[in-house]
Amino acid sequence: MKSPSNPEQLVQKLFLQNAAPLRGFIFGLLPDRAAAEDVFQEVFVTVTRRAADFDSSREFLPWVRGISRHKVLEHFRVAGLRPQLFDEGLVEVMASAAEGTQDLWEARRVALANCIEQLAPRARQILELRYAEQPLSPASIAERLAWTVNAVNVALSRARKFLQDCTRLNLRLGGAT
Amino acid sequence: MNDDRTFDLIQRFLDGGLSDSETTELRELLASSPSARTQYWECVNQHALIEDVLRESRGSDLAAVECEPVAGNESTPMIEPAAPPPTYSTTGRAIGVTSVIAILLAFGFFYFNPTRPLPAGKNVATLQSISGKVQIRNSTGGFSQAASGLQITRGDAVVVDPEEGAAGLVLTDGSHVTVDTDSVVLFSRAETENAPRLHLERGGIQMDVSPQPHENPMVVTTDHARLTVRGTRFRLYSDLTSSRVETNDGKVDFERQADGQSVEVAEGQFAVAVANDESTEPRPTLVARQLSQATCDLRHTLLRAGKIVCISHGGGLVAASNNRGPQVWDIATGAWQGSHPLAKPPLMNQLAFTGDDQAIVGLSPGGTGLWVRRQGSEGKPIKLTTEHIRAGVVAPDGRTFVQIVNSDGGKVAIWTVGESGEVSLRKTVPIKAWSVAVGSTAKSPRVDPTGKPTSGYVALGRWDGQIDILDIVSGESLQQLKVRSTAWPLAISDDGHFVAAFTNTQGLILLDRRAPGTAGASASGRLLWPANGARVAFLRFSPDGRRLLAGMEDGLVRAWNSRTGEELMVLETGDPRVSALDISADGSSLVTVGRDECVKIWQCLWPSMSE
Repeated sequence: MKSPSNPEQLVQKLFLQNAAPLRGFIFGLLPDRAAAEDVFQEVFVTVTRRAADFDSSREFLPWVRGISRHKVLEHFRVAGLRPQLFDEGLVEVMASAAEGTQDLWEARRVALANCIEQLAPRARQILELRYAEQPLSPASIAERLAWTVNAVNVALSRARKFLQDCTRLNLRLGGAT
Repeated sequence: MNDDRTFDLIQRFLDGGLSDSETTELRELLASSPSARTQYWECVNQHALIEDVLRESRGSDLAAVECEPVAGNESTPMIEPAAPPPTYSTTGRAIGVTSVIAILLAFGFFYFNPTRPLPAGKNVATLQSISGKVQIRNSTGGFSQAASGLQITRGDAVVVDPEEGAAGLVLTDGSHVTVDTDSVVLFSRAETENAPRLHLERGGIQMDVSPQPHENPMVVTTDHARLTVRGTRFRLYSDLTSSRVETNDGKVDFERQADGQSVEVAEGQFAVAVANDESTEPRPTLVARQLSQATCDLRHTLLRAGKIVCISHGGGLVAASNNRGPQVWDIATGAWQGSHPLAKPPLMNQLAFTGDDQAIVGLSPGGTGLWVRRQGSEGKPIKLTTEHIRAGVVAPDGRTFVQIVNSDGGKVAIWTVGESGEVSLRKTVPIKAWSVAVGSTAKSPRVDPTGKPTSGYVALGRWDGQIDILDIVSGESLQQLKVRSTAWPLAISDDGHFVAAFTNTQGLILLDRRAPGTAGASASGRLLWPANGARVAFLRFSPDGRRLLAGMEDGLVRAWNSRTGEELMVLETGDPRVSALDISADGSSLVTVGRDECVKIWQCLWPSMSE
């Protein structure tokens, strides 16, 4: 195995390896799918440009989370937007609270994938519509399925609760098998 | 504020469904309550994970680049093109370039910097990554759960669960260790020793060792062997009876504990030291042999292509299937040939081309079959037995489904698949089986090694290790073989001559049904791979039955000559696990399935094999 030959390659590689938790982190601070994806791409460009600043003896994720936090705030400022949920102070607090919540990411992913397989067909269908490549809002799902919006919200909530409990159980059992 | 209310607010916020007053309520809650913040991140992370799991956009998924070709291509685009389906071409060499260490130690590897070692002290290593269940056994014998970032001190042992798991560690000198499933590694107990010292109690490890001081090299021991390492990459396996080293880069000095005889094991070689059996016979000379006679070059990588693969009988196409249904690629160019989307596709775990390569046959774990014409528009789900299914397989020629059904005390259903995809139940056999394998159906009956006429074979593994060989048409028993415990996975060659079975007690056993003494209630098998260390995840005979290939839990593909048991190939796929594979009739193409439905197409060159 050859190590990356330059810092850019190194940080790009690390970025890709941590793409999923990083996406989650950015979305957590900026819960707008399209905007979060834009920031995600901007962060990629920035970490590549600042690759020489990365101290490879330190952890990558905290470093890139710091950059992401600034990019989220910058996004609010440039777009002239008032944050939907967080103000600047709360962004800092929430970013700090994210520390440690993304451990065991791959194990969680495996456990969750197993749990999704256990969902009832209807719940699975709703989840897939909600998380599709072009995600549907609960209102759109309701329209498509001829349900009420409230019924969709309840079904989504139950599915997520089941997945949360199931994932925890899988992780506790150490299986995710 | 109760947790349910918080959960509800967060979920609806993420769905964009909060009123202004509820948004304010949530904001205040997050500002004041650490537990609400924790719950928020749990929900957000789950949201991201669900999206990740369900994400099937393939080309638009940046993270999918993680599933990358083994040998880096400098011109590789960072983001895949959005057009379906993503292929990723390369001509890089496989052996000697890749390692599953890079996957398991995704973080740790890149911290490697020999000029800046981690601070040494009582700590001897840092646990960088874990999957599955990993425990730390301290010097007093107490156990504790492992976690990423944990410091390992002298006298600690890393214990990886027998069922599933792996651990990645970085030693204080920057060396990397990956501990396989069902393995135990003890770290140096003596505080006076400066050089790293590890003892592999059982199982397997993969090591990427930093350059060591000449006068004080790293020492790795097992019950049967002692390795002196000065900077290299190697794999080491040990069980009750033997220890085996395989060197990827550099060389190691491998000493047999029983008599002190040693051999230098250079790049691409392996050596085995067996336990001291107190025999008066002189021990065979310890030798290092060539590890892999075959070479495979990575030709294409298909991102998010499927969990199961098959190669067409003509060898020109590869099909893979995931929850979008089957898709087909040209094996030479990696060009996408088409998909067969279903309105609600079952997730296949078995796949085969029909004999004329014009259709694809699949089977889901839940018992739904699929038959789809390659030129057709949409697949045709087939309802088979769907209750109490333990396992099911599709024959390599797509003409037979076999299902293990748990109801009625256990039975096996053998189904015939017609030329137009019509399915009929051919036979039900009252056997309580655990594992199953099936071969192709011969055009005309032949004589089985037991002397009975047959058109093909079904192999069934029972709990107690018995393996029943049945005629594929009549379901009649042809032979009963016996291994020590439940065989899983199981494979049978199309000609029925060979059966391969992996068991937890014996390891990978190859049974030659033509060998003297094989007919009857037992068979003397050839041990190909020990039970401890890397396990076998998938078994497949080549269509001509001359080679047996195993997808391993440590990301390797191993191949043997079926007749002689000779090792033919060790291929590092770059994936942490090889969950499925297939090989073309002429052996020139190999397809493997790794992490995240990543399918890799390899071009292989095999040594000539004596008949």
